[in-house]
Amino acid sequence: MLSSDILSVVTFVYGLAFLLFILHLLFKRDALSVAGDVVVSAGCIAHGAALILRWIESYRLGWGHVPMSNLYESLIFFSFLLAVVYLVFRFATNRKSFGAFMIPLPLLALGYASLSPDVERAIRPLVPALQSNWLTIHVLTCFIAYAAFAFSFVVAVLFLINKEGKKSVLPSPEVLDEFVYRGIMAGMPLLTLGIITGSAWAHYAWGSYWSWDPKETWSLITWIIYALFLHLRLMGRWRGTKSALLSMVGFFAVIFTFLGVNYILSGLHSYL
Amino acid sequence: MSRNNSKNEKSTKKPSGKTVFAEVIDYLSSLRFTVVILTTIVIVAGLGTLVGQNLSEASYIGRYGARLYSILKLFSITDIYHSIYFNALLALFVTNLTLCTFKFAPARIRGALSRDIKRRSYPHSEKIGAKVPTEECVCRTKKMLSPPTLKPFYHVVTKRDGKKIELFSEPHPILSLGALVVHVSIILIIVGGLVSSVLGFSGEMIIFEGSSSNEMFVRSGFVYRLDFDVSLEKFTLETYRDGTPKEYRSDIRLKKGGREVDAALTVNHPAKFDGIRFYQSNFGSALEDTVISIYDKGGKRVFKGKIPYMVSLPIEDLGITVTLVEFYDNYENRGPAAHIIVVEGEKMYAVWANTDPAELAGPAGRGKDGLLFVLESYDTVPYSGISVNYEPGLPLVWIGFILLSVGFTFPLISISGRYKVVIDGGDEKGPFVEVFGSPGRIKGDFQGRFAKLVKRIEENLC
Repeated sequence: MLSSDILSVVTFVYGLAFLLFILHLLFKRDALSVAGDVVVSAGCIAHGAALILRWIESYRLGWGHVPMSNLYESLIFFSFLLAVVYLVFRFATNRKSFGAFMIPLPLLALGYASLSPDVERAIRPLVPALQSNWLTIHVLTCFIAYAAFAFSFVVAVLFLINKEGKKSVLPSPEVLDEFVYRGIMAGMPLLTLGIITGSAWAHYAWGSYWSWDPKETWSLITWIIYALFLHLRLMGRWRGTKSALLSMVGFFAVIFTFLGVNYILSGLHSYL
Repeated sequence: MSRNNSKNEKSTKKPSGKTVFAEVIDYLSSLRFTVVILTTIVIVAGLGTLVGQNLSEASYIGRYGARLYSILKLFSITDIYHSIYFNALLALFVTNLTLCTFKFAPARIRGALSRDIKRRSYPHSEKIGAKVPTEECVCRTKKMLSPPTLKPFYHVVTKRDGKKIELFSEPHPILSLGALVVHVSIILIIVGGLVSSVLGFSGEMIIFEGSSSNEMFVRSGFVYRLDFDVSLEKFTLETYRDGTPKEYRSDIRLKKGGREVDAALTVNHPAKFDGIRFYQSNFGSALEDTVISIYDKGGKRVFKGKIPYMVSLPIEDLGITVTLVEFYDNYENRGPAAHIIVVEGEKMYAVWANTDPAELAGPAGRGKDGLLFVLESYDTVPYSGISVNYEPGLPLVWIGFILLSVGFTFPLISISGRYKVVIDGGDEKGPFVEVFGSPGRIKGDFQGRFAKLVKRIEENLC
């Protein structure tokens, strides 16, 4: 399919951008960072176009559904959001040194989706449970939340690297600490909406809005971890290193909710 | 919750003449307890997913061995979310949440309803020399003070003290209730769930095409009789070209007294009757007149006969008991297959009986002691699995969901910082104007935004 071919190429485009960002860190030439951003932007446009194309292709096959219905489609959508989050962050804050740290995430997600032999790339028809308007809003909210948490995770790692504030290439620890918090502030309402929409959907599809299915349980665990993060922070107790570490734990829970549950455990939510 | 709360909390922990009861209540409503209880819930809930819940005894024994399984079962780890201790953890969490919420609610609500502006420190300030009269200054500054994108959520308050005029731009005080709204909504959701579990019921009906039933199987394994009958008029399975299910649909008829109501159930489209909801949950084929043969290691047939569906049948000659539990039209692309549980003394294992023994001559088709089961003949009757729920607490849950979504947006729309403009004294050219800014919880580029605002005000007043 053309969309999958485009996405394979986009993987290499992100790879090229990553290389440019690394060279920027090594040689400190602004032109390299600008080139990296241009390449990411081009990759992101092609990525978005490929998602739309896949949507159109599914209509041509006679099934017609948003490309959000299995592991491959969720990975290509997630990697798109990760790239968009980087670009939004880049142009909203004008910070140049984050590309080398943030682009590996969409690169890895898309690379795994495009190249791994374990990932089924064909467009499949929707099973009855997925034929619902809740699909789009549920997947959209969950994955934007995941992308915001991924951003917090990367910044938390950068915070730990630059705890002392000695790395001139990175922003000060205070700024990084605040970015960790902002990512979670953005992700938490979206994850809440994701769980609520999933729950409402489960009510219509399975007859129960909460049944302690592994996916539901792990989404709740993730939600609780970030709720603890917010409480500990707002009460003025946890900042800096502890807060960064908790945000990383939260992101591991996100990854487990997204992928681990389906690879390791079995349950109702077996589509992705 | 603000830092003031944590100060309050700390001050209540100082040794005082408090009773033990008051101290217990203090601890139960503390953030420290929230952290302890939520961490424990996370660990226990996570353990439940890793162990696997409500699987068959055979699959637990296969996974963990009989000894470990008996320990898991003893501590209800195989049904952890319905265990006494998990429910006790949830009850403690609700206690903590409720106490904590009601402890801070009155002050929060008073604050939100009050028209007073809280005294706060403004780390940023800038002086401007205005060149327009005082009242014109007030009028123009007011227009510029609210953040343009969040205007509906911000208000500008004017305070006059003699000649000194103070203008405050603050998020609407009602927005400070975000945390309270979120906490109350979680309580509502949990209370809704509790109401449903106490006053409601949920279960599963298995109805064969052309027949009717009022029996519902509930989670504990009991059969509950509904006060109406459900008949399955027709079951339709529609598939895609590649054979995967596209839609399954049960045309049912609900009969109560002399009343009859027809409904069509498909996945994602439940039906409602007398406050009770019906969901298309699953489907399958049950076997009738099933005949199986059993061959020994040497390929000699040692048994041939009818076995009933879901009823154990002892085969004394072989010293085993067999139960036919499932049937698939096409299992793993090897044609029709019946899933049979075999019990031999203390041992229990499962085998698949296919219709084609030639293909199943290898070890894959044999039981553990080498018996080969063959499905000789059968008749199928389609059945529909219908979930039945009565959830009187559902409206509370929906209200909780809506409030939860709304409550989370409050901090996001009140994030933009607070400003104060003091207009005072001055000369014949115009009054002195000083702009103050406080970034609040998230600083971001507040300095830049503050500088822009000062510039805008300056341009308008000069």
